[in-house]
Amino acid sequence: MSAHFAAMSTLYDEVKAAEQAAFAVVGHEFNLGSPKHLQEVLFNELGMPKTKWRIKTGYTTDSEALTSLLAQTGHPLLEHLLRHRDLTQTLDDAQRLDSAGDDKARSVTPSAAGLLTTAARLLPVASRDRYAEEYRSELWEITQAGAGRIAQLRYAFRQLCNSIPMGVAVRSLRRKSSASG
Amino acid sequence: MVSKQASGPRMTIPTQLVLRALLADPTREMYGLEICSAASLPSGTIHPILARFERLGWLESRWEDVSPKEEGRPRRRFYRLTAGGAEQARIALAQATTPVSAIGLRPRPAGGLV
Repeated sequence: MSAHFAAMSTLYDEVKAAEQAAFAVVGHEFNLGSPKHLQEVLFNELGMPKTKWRIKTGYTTDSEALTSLLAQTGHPLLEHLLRHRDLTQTLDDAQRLDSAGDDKARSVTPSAAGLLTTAARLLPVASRDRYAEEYRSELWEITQAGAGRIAQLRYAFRQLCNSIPMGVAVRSLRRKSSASG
Repeated sequence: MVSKQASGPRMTIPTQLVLRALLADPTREMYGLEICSAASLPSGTIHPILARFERLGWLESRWEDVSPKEEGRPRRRFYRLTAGGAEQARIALAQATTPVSAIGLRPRPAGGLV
C-alpha cells in the first residue's frame, strides 16, 4: 500500500469516526452536511442559542457560528461537528488535487496534438490522414505510458522535424505505386 | 518495385537498428512505438525509415482491427516485413559498411517510449 493511499484511508476513517461520535452524542443519525438537519438538531432538539438569521437558509450553521456556539455552551457535539467539517474539507481537497494530478499526467497536451496536426499537414495530401491518425495514436500511447507535457512536446517536435524526410519517402512511394499501377 | 530493391536504402545506424528489431521476429506485426522500443530509438524518429521500407516493398502495414470508440483508444498501425523484405533486409544488414555491431551500439534500457 502506498503512503499516499494509507494517508487518504486514515483521513477517511477519521471523518467516519467524527460522524459516529456526533451520532452518539445526539442519540440518532443525521446528515452532518445538511444545514436543515443541523438546525433541527442544534436549535430544536438541543435548544442551543439561535445564531444569525439568513433569509434563504435560516439560522446559520457555518464554522464561525459553530465555533461561537462551542464557546458559549461547550457542548461536545459542536467539537465533533467542527472536527468533521475540517476533516471533510481536507479529504475533499486531497481528492481534488489527486484527480487534478491524474488528469495532468494522463491527458494529451493540446499544443503537442497541434504540432502533430501541422506535421501531418506538411505531408502529401494522400498520406495526411493516415499519418495524422498514426501520430495521434502514438501520442496517446506515450501519454498513457506516463509522458508528461515536455515529453509529449518532444515527441511532436521530432515528428515535425521528420516532415521533410517523410514527405520525400511518401512522395516516392506514391510515384512508384502510380507508375507500377 | 524489384529494381529498387537491388540497390536498397542507405544503411544508416538507425536504419540498421530498425531492421534488426524487425528481423528479431520477422513474421510478427509490430506497431511504431514497439519498433522504437525494440530498436532503442527515441519515439518519433522512425517513421521516415518505415516509410522508406514500405516504398521498397520490404514492409507492409495495416490498421489494427479494432473500433477506437469501443476500445476507448486510437487504433495502432501495425508493420510487418514481407517475405521478400525479410530476405533483402538480412542481405542489406550483412553488407552494411558500418555494421551496427562493429561500433558496439547496444540497446538502451530506456527504450523508445519517451
